[in-house]
Amino acid sequence: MAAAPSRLHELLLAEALRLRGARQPLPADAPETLRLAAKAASPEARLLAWSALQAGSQPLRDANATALRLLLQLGGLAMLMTALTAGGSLSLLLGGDGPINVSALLAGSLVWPLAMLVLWALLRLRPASAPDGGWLQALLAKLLRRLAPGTAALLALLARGAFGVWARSLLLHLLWAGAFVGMIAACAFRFTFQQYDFLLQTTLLTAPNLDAVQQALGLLPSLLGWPPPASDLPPDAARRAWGLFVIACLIAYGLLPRLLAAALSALLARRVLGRPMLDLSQPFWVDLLLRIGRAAVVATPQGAPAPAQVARPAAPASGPDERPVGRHVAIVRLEPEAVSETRATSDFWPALDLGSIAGRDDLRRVAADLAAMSARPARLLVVASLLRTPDRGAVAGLQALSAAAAAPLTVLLADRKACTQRGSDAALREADWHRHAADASAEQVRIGELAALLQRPLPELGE
Amino acid sequence: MTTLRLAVVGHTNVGKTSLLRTLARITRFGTVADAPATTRQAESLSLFESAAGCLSLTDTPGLERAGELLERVEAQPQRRADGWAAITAVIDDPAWKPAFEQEARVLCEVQTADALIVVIDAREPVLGKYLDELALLAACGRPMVILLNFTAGRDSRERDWREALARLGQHLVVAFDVVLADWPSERQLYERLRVLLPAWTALFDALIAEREQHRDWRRQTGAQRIAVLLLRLAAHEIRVPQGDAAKRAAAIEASKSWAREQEAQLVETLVRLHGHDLGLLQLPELLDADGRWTADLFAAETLLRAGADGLGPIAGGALAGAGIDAAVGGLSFGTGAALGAAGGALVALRNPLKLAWRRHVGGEDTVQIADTVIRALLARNLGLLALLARRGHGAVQPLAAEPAAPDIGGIWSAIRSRLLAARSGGAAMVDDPESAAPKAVAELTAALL
Ligand SMILES: Nc1nc2c(ncn2[C@@H]2O[C@H](COP(=O)(O)OP(=O)(O)OP(=O)(O)O)[C@@H](O)[C@H]2O)c(=O)[nH]1
Ligand SMILES: [Mg+2]
Repeated sequence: MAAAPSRLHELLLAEALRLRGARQPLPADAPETLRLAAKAASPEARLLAWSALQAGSQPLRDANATALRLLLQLGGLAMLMTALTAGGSLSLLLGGDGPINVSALLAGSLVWPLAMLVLWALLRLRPASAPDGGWLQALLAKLLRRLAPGTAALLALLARGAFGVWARSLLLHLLWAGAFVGMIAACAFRFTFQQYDFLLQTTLLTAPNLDAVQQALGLLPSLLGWPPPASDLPPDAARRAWGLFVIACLIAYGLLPRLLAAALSALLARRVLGRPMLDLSQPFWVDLLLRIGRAAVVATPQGAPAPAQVARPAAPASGPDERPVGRHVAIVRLEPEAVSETRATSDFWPALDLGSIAGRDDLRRVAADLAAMSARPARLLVVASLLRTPDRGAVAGLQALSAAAAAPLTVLLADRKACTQRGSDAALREADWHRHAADASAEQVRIGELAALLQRPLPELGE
Repeated sequence: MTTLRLAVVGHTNVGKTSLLRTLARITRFGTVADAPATTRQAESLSLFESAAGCLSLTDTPGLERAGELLERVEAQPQRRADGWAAITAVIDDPAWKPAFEQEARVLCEVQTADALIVVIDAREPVLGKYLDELALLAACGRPMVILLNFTAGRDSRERDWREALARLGQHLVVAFDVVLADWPSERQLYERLRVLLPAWTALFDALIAEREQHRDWRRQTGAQRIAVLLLRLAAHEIRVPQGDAAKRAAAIEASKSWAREQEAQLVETLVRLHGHDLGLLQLPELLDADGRWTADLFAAETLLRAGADGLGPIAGGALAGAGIDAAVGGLSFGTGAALGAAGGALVALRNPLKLAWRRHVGGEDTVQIADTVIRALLARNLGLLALLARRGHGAVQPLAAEPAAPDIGGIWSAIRSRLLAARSGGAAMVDDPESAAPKAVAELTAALL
């Protein structure tokens, strides 16, 4: 039983780390951390292992716990509120001292849950621009964010597909249950301290038919030990029996199913929680998984595969690529003037720098990285230098990379100034590169420097 | 006669074709362009013939996919024992044949060559693909010399390359730049080849000797052609009746165009002498289509550029005027300085006295070509000579600017008394100084060298 809460906390921590990492670059991981994380088998397990190993994550854990507690408190408060309003309004309904029409009372008890159902349905109807999970979710998110700043991780998790659905369902059924508790309490209170006569009358039905209705209505309560009152009881006993029967009906048809549904939702939410929950197409996870994957290769004793086995770097996949499409843009520098040690980052688009290619081994490594990504990049950006003469080898390299990435290819031609300074005809060189990029089926060729491109949004991402 | 066959190989666009042009001193061989895959077929030329044998060079297409080819070769079982067998196994494989067609053409040339000159663009970083090419060529089992091209520019990475090549065990490396005709590095190339191919020592010795002889001859001849023209210009004169402005103007014009004509011929001679081709030299900013300098010899700026500070008091108005062509006073070539020299007085005063006599007794003015003009002509043609001597035949870039006028102050003071003497040389000196004054020509030539 302890497994689920701890997994929830693990997931929350991972999400919180991702959100923080997207805002500010994290310090480089110790190789040991990556190697340890690489011991886990599945991608998600690796990510969770990695986040568990992060030092200084206690504040994030605390914030997550606070957010979770807050969510529970809010849920409790909402239940209390519904119980009070539902109970209060029923109590008002019973305020007069005339006889009570049983069918009207039972029908009236359905008004509240029905109203909530309608409300819920209305909330599900949402314009296309609404956030995931509809207005209810958005409202809740806003409220939570207002109350506790560290709730982003929790909200991200609640927005994740099936888990969110069942968690919301649990909340809704608990609210209904709360309403019924309130109404049952109101009835019990009224019936205890006031004397009512109960009527069950008909105009259209014959007496046996009405009897059958009464028996049918009493079926569930009698299974639970509250049979419908017999017709030949003395008035005092009949009053008592009818009062208990009404309460039993509310429990059997209102409260219990809600509780059952809530339990089912909780069970399903828990089950879903056990399945892979993290969105592996998030650039942050894609990147981290790559690094962990590399650490795993290094950790393997005879890690480097024999040359003959990898004669074709990233041969085009036989079938269509099944991976989801991520949002990240994979950046590769093809034979740059100097190998840059710093990884390119951008505040405007999710750049994932795979490093430089200076030879066949690099090409193989980068192609393997591209092929191993948990999500395909939205675009592959290959930075080529105009100082290099384009050749058929470069075409083959570009082809291998774009096959491994299974993403549209943009070639960015850099170093134009240096090319001119060298005395080459930059326009001629560009034309040569255009031709070679077209041979490699590049979707687009741009001219400029990577540093400048990182400083503004990328139109081809459709942002 | 036996022939030594050398193949010039390397990545595409590293200057292989240009190298052949420079080594063979011809500007019309193959196609040169700053683009990949310019040369598509192997093409040979005979570089040298002597009693010791012939030397032929073969230009080859550039390698482009050597890395992938090498990868396949490395997968062949026999690669260690017999590299060539492993290579043939791959390039003859129908599955790979189309992909490596160009590489196969190169490798076949390599196989039939006696040795290789492997050209590398030394401005490039030491990238894997270049090392792959070296490994592939090494697998062919031919002796090789590595030529680092493009080493004259500031962006050369010669050091990196030398280190990387040393790590690979390649120590026969020559730094080169085909746009420069740099004899020491060319000589080094032949010396390296001589070390590599001991059986051909005599051939390389003969080649080196011939090339050095040629170089000296070119230098000597170039200086001599300039010296001869200087003497002819100094001796040139046209006499006109005093006071006849029209005749005088006509004489000035005639002198100017004659001088321009003579210079154009000199330029053509110099260019031919160096095996260049006026049409291919492409000197749009320097020389016009007929090989004439675009900057007029008689324009004030030209004279100023040739060293105005050496022109002494003649400046400003005089320079801006008629191009100082019609000297009437005849006090030129630093007459004062020549006067001071022992025994120089007679020489120095002969021309002014002659002119004064003609003017006052004969009633004639004498139009001569001023020494500033002669000096300007000397400056720029010496510059051109140096430029031509340095220009490799593989260079295709136009000469963008006039060669920086060499500082000819020293030369000028050494030769001016000779030129002053030539003022009185008469028609014989104008027509053929070499017969009229062989000593003066020899002295002047020596001074220009
Ligand atoms: N500055 C400079 N330019 C050079 C040098 N060598 C070659 N070039 C230039 O480089 C370009 C390529 O020269 P090519 O001789 O066509 O090269 P290649 O190796 O024959 O090329 P492919 O036939 O296409 O393989 C031309 O624009 C040459 O002018 C050099 O040493 N210095
Ligand atoms: Mg060529």
